[in-house]
Amino acid sequence: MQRRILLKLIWMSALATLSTRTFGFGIQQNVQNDLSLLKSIYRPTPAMRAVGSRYLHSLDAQPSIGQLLKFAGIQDASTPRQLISAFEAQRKADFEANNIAILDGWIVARAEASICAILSQ
Amino acid sequence: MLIDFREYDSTDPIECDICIVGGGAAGVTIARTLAGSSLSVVLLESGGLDPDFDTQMLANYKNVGDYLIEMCRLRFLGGTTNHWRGASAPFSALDMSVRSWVPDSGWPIGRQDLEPYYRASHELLELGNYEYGYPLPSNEAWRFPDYENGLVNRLYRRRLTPINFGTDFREELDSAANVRLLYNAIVVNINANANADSIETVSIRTHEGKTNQVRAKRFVLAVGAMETPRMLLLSNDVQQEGLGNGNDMVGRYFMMHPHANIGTVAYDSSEFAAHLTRGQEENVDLISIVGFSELAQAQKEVLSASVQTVLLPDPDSGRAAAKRIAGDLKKLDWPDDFGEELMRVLMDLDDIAADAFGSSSSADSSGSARLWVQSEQSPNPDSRVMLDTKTDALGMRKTVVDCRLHEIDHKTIRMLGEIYGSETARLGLGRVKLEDWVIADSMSWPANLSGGCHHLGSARMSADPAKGVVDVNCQVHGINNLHIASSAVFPAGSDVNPTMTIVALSLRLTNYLQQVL
Repeated sequence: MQRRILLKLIWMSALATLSTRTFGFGIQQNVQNDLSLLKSIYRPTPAMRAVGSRYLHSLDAQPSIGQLLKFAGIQDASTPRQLISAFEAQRKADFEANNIAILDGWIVARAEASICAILSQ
Repeated sequence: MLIDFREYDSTDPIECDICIVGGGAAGVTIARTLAGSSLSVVLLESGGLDPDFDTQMLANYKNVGDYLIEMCRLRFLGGTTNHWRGASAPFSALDMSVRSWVPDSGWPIGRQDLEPYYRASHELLELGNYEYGYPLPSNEAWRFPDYENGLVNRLYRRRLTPINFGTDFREELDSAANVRLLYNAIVVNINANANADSIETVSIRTHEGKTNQVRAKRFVLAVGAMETPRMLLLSNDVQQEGLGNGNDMVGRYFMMHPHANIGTVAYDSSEFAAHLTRGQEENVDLISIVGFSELAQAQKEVLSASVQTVLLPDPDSGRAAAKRIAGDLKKLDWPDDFGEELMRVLMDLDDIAADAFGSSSSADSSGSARLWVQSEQSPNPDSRVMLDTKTDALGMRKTVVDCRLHEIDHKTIRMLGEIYGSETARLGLGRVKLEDWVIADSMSWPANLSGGCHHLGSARMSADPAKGVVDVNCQVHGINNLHIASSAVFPAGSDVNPTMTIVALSLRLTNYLQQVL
């Protein structure tokens, strides 16, 4: 189950791209506050929600959705492609800066943890 | 000349220039180096040429510390090299330096002092090219990921058939006219003069009760980091606190190398899979590990440590089953008279645990692997080898081992796991899941924490008699003709396997003895 979480995290960008191609999402609106759109791209699983919940539980103060989107690096994305690209960049930057979280033993970037946290709500 | 002491006829004391106690890597190295010289040498081995149960039981001890300590010291000619796996590498300069963040760290000699002896040790162990850096000048095609954030690739070398000091050098010792190897000769006391500043003889006996004494100009204790303090503490007829123990340092700073599975990596990269393959130079395996750079150790204030990736065995395999069984056996509080069968199982542990240093000759570009860490243990005066109240079959008090770990030991492993996991993800190689004990907020260790059979410290080297047992020449402080040759003298233990350094120090000591005699 845990490995599935990671595989999901690793491949979610690809999945999002696939979803866009498959279903022809013509997303025009800003994703910043559109939780349903985010969920349609990243299709949360119970395991991802669990990771997200653990992340939120580990924080002293509960962040807003806007803050989590910022942590994930996607607050300014307006299209799925931008979102995916921005998320990948943030994910890599987090690992470069050792900006990581350890959730249930797995080492994840804060960007990844943030996405999971959003999806857990 | 090889002599079975049980069949030795004379009762006259045995005279020689140098008496070496212990026929393992250190003792045999010194004896064979002196072969053909003008010095007469007696090498005493408590066991025989093959293992026997009664002698092996003399090494039994009580463990009350943080590790699960394996019964791995072998008491017959060749000592523990009868079952070592051969992984070898020299210490780094930092390993031997004073580190402000590691209390009581630092050797009184530098890495450069050991360099010529490391080269000689490397040659003696037949380890191929003297190359331990990365990438290998002679094998640049064998490439690993470019880790950053304080991680570097390193190498172990391992002869496919590791040198066995009991069998590989036996003929050489037998034919040396100036070397007498007395086996089945158990040292029961080191006899000092009235001032306890010089050793006159050592008393030896057989299981059957035959006794004698060996008189020498110089004595060398080459019996490892558990037996060395035992023999010094037991030899208390003149110096009541034990020989060389005027400052209560004998037995302290005992260390091992924490060995443990810290997690799992799910990888998806042929570049990563290179870690799982052996490099090879004729008869030598090259084993890749990833560890902290010297700079990172200083910046992060951690110890020397490295992680090796090991392919996950099939959980249903016989080897895995054997390992589970062995793990269960090792949790037992061993009775004094545990049977030969159990001993055989324990002696076979190295083979069972071969995975720990066994890489595959090929690996798929994706899969799962175990993360196996081997770390330095910080020097700790409260980590000790002491005398037990119980005695062995010869009436000698046994040892109690209380090997204690510190917060920095756990911090080192946790940080290595986190950075390794983060780097593996950053480079897109795979993802890491760490074990609960690794990421626990407070210091936590797995129940099966192994010390890797690497017993270090307990008679540490220091220029200051108040802070160590031996001086820079491995001579016991205050005793003008007693030396120690083993990992017992390590003031700090690095994270690398100790045999190459034991041999290097033994060669250095031999050089010193040749100069002074």
